[in-house]
Amino acid sequence: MAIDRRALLLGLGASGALAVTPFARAKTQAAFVACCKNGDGSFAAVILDADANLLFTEALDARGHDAAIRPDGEAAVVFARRPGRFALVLDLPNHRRVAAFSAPDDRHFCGHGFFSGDGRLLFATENDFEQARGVLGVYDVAAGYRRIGELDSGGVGPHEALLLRDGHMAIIANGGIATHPDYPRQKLNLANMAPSIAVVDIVTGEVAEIATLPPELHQLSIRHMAAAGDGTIWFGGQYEGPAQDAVPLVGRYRPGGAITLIDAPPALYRSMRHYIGSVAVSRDGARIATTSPRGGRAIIWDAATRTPIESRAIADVCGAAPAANGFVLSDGQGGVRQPGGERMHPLAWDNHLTAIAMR
Amino acid sequence: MRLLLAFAFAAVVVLPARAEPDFAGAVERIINDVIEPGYKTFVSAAEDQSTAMQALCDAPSAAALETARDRFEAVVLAWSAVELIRFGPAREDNRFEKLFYWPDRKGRGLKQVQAILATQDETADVAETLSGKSVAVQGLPALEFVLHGTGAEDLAAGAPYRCAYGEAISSVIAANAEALRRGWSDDGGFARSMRDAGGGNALYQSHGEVVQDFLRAATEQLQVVRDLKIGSSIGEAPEKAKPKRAPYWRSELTLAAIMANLRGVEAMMLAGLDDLLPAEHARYAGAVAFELKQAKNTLDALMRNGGAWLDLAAGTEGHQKLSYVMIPLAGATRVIAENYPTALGLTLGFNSLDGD
Repeated sequence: MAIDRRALLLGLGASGALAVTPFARAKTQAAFVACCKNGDGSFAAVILDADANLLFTEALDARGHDAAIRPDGEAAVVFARRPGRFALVLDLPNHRRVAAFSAPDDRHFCGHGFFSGDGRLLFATENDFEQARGVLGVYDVAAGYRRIGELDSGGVGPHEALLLRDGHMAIIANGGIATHPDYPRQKLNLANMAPSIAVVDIVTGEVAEIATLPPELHQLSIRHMAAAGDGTIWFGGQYEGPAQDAVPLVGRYRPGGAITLIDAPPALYRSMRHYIGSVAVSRDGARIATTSPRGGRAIIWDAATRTPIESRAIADVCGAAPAANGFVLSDGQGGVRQPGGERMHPLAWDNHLTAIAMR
Repeated sequence: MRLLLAFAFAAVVVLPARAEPDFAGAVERIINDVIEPGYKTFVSAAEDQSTAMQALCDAPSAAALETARDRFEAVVLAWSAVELIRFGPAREDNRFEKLFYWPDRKGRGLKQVQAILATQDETADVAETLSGKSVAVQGLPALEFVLHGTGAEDLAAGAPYRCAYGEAISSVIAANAEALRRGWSDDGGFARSMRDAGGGNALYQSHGEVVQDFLRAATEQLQVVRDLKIGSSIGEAPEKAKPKRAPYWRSELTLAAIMANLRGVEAMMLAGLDDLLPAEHARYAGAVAFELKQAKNTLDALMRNGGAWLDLAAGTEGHQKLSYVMIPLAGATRVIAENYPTALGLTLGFNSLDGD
């Protein structure tokens, strides 16, 4: 095939513009992992550098969701979006895929997970759909991510989960919505859903606490969380009740305490359209970002005063991760915005953007 | 060459921007011509059903049971035509689930209904207390079991508790139907928010957003019919069929209800959405109509052939035809979900459309 000289030059020009001196070092430092939908409709998992340049792209058979980063920052596990069953392991320093594994036949991933503090075990939120109960699947990293057991998630429809700094207790957002792959993505129990935040001992499997919402908010599905610097867990919900209801969407929880909802002007919550897609904490732990693709809104909160400090309009924004100074936000139009600048990629960023430097 | 380019550029600039489609008009027509009359028909069918149940309980007979079953068919068809409206008043007080608790995974709802009948639960045969019980025991699937499930034949000779429970369900259905109708027709209600879409409106910033909800309702209904009601029931092969997953198999109304679902979608497209398409995209309306007609023709032929749903879904020929129906349904879904929004300038973002 003849290569059009002009196209070649254009191509070189384009890649030169995109990559910041890729030849200076062996491999540019990976900073983020995200999933996306490409322009041709295919799906991928991507490693990005701190300036949001694409370092590596791995094709996925179906839509991916979030990634768990190993504490040493050298590996990421990308999970299928529910009700998918695939997971793949990325080697972050070397920008390559090194392994893949699946959830068992009678479980599917819920899209999120985390590593144990020593990086030896991976915990994934999963749906035991026949029993309509949530579990944390436990995978042995050294044994090629062999599944060695599971723990009760303390509720139905687990979604995001994170490990407390003590390395002992997991916090699990149980969205409360029952689903079954026989009825793909159909919500089966909206009338009596019961979301919760559970605290689970990852060593003993004991469900130490289950915190619930007041009855009038039982249709607020708790799905995404981040731990603030003061140890409180901030969460964002998705409300399944009537569209006209004015409900708080953001709350906080401290293990041993109760869930409290964050007061904010009704118009601010309204701008999020009953739907928060991601929650992230800043590197200093002092600020929380909540994004709403449906409202096209990113709202930043002060963790200490519990007040909103910034509201930005960004169409289809969802991904949020800590950056050097503030937050990186990704959107469905391919944009990656951070205090230093803004990049556009010809693809749609999926729900989550995960920072490698920090869990 | 330079001149030509300049001219082309100028032509682009000078061309007037195309006027936005008349979203407000479409919203008005869909509310007036589809939703309000649809719920009105549902209310009247529900009231007739309630009357027939009362007559059956007052004077049990084979004829009275027959009438009650006929009325059940009418109320199921009326509901199925508006089943696609899953938002607004249908979301309040869990009315959608109260009327139509389905899918019933592992028959959990069915077990509750059976337990009520077995224990003759005194709080279930009175509408006031029944309405406070589980959503699974007060809607159309529960009433179907009373009228068509095991032991239903006893109603003709008099089965006082079963009949009273059925009567209570039919009253609750009628009350919920009326609440839905009122929710749409009350000035200041949900319909008002749709009509008054715009800045300052808490629910809808524009009539285009309302139209997006209608398009989504049509898409979801087609997906529910295709993937859940048909696909999940018939499985990949006749021997893998699980036909009892489909709604209304006891009353043999599965196909008729699906047809009513499709008519509901057609009515919404015809009443307001098709007219919005700019001339160069008018063919999308024809494409949806064609696909739905293909599906309906096949379903219609299956209905005319008769035969029980359970045999149909698990039999070679029935399975083949039902599998075929899924193809045009997928086609119609794709056009409504992808081509309409693009043609109308209403494309939803990747994350907003279907997040997690």
